[in-house]
Amino acid sequence: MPTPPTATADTSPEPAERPAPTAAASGRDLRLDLFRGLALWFIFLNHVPNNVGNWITNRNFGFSDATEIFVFISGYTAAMVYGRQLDSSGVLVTSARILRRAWQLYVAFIFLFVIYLAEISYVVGSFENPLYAEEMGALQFLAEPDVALVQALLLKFRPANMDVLPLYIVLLATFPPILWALKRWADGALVASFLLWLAVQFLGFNLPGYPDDRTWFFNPFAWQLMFVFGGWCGLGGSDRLTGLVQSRVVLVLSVLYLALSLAVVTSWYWPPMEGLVPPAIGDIIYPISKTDLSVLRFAHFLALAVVIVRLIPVQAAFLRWDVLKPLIMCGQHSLEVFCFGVFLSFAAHFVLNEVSGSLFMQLTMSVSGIALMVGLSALLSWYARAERDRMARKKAG
Amino acid sequence: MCAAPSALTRAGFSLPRLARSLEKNEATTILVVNSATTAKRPALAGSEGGKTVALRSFPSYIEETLRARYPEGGVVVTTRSQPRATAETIRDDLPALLAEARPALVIWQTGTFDAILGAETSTFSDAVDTGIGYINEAGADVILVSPQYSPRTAFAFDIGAYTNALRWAARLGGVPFFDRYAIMRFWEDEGIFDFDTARPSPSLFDDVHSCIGRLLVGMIVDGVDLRTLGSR
Repeated sequence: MPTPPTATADTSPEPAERPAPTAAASGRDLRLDLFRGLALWFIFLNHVPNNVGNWITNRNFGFSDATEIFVFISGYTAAMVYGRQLDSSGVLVTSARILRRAWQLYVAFIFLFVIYLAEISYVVGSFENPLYAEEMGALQFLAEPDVALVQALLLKFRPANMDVLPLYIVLLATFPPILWALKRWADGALVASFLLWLAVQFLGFNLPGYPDDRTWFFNPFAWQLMFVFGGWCGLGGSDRLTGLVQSRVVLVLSVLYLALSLAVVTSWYWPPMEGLVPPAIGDIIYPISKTDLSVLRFAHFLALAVVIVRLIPVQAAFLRWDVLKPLIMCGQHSLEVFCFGVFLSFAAHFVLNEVSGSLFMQLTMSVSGIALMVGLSALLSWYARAERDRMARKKAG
Repeated sequence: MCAAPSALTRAGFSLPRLARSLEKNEATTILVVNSATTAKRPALAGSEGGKTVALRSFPSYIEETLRARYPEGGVVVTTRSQPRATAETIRDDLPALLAEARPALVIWQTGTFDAILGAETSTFSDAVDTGIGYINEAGADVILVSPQYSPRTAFAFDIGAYTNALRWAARLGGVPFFDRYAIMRFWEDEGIFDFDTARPSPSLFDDVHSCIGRLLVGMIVDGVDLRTLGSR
């Protein structure tokens, strides 16, 4: 296992979105990193098609999935870190730093897109099977670089599995004024965000996509609520919710809702459970929109959060256990690990098709993918530490 | 070879209009609407110096088997292939298609192009719902057929959401659902067929399509019999 970062690690030369683990000693909420790390692992597993590994991920046990966790925690940490910088370095500098981060994400998106195009071109060129003439014909059209590349640069063409990244770019690029508003009128900003989400639920507008009448898979006008709510919590809102979270009634309701959604979801996907939930319920609630962040998904995330916060207090000793270090480290380098995860899911798909798709291979790909993600985060932690030491020596000398 | 779990091959809902037409021993038309591109393949023929193998896709197997089973009236299967057509496009074309073919049963395969485009699943379900309504109004039954399982391309588009949407549309509309995706997935898992090999056996296409044709006939017969049982 790679060496975990020590308590005095990681102040990268550029302002990263993650706070230095030095803060860990002074009350940094390790649960954020832990669950963001877990969400990143789940997103990777879900993105490897035909993989038995994705049966353990939370999307199979309720209405919401890893995306909600990822977007919420990203909003939370972004508001916390940049909120602090706003106080120390002012609006202009902080905004510039946020935009710089958004730019890094954009570059990462284009990089992954090129790899995606390469894989499509390879599959189309090497795979001659009349059974799949239709699929190949359509892929050929997606691989036309003159259209696909231009549309990708405009963030309009977002291949499956890469949808979260454009959402994250847009959320971060529009974050400076939102952060400013959250600092001044936290509740007002949250209400505005909620109203925008509500408008989407009824009016259904979205950003245009490519090709044709396709729209964004993750509607930014709806998903901003998750991000802004995360930010609101990160700037002290979560403390104000303590009374609510600790209330027994809320806990009971949350557990009931989680159990109900577990029953509904398993009855949909797992034949032995079929018929357990009356079809009438399904008829009313289906489809649970992921694109527009359906209220059922949002409520499911809230219920999950309530239960987790109750089960795992912030000072829980096991958060510092070595077994959890890999998860926490991944959560602390979310951008790099996320992008690497998308790359690894392409690679795993390639291996599963080219070499073997056996059960053993699926498990091997899942485990080694996660090991590589952990390896990268360890490398980044080590590098950040080395840079910090160098800077410190420079200052001293 | 064509085995599949009965949960996947049962009709679940009856096909009363088709049953009536077969009972009366009148000419019965089955319309297959799909998005296959394999009917004519000039590009491939050109690249291999004109050497084309006539590929039989599943509709022709349906006609053959059903004619043997119901010899009196005469069953005709007409196929309408519209590659690169979303469910919305087909929905708009359906009234004209129905007026022209006057079918007793429509086998509607859809979802592949919607998945590739990433069309919104709610739009997709709505189009399928409306389409089922059109077909029933025109006096025909429907069997919905999901896209095929395509492991090579699974990274580029996700069929799952569209298969789920079809399953729901079928359940809400009270029509049988032929989950081709799940059946092919079963064949792959059981080692009956290998769908992701770079060099597929020359007979793969024919084998798969004859199996799908056979299982679809099984579902059709099941749906017709359900109606007979119910009416007694």
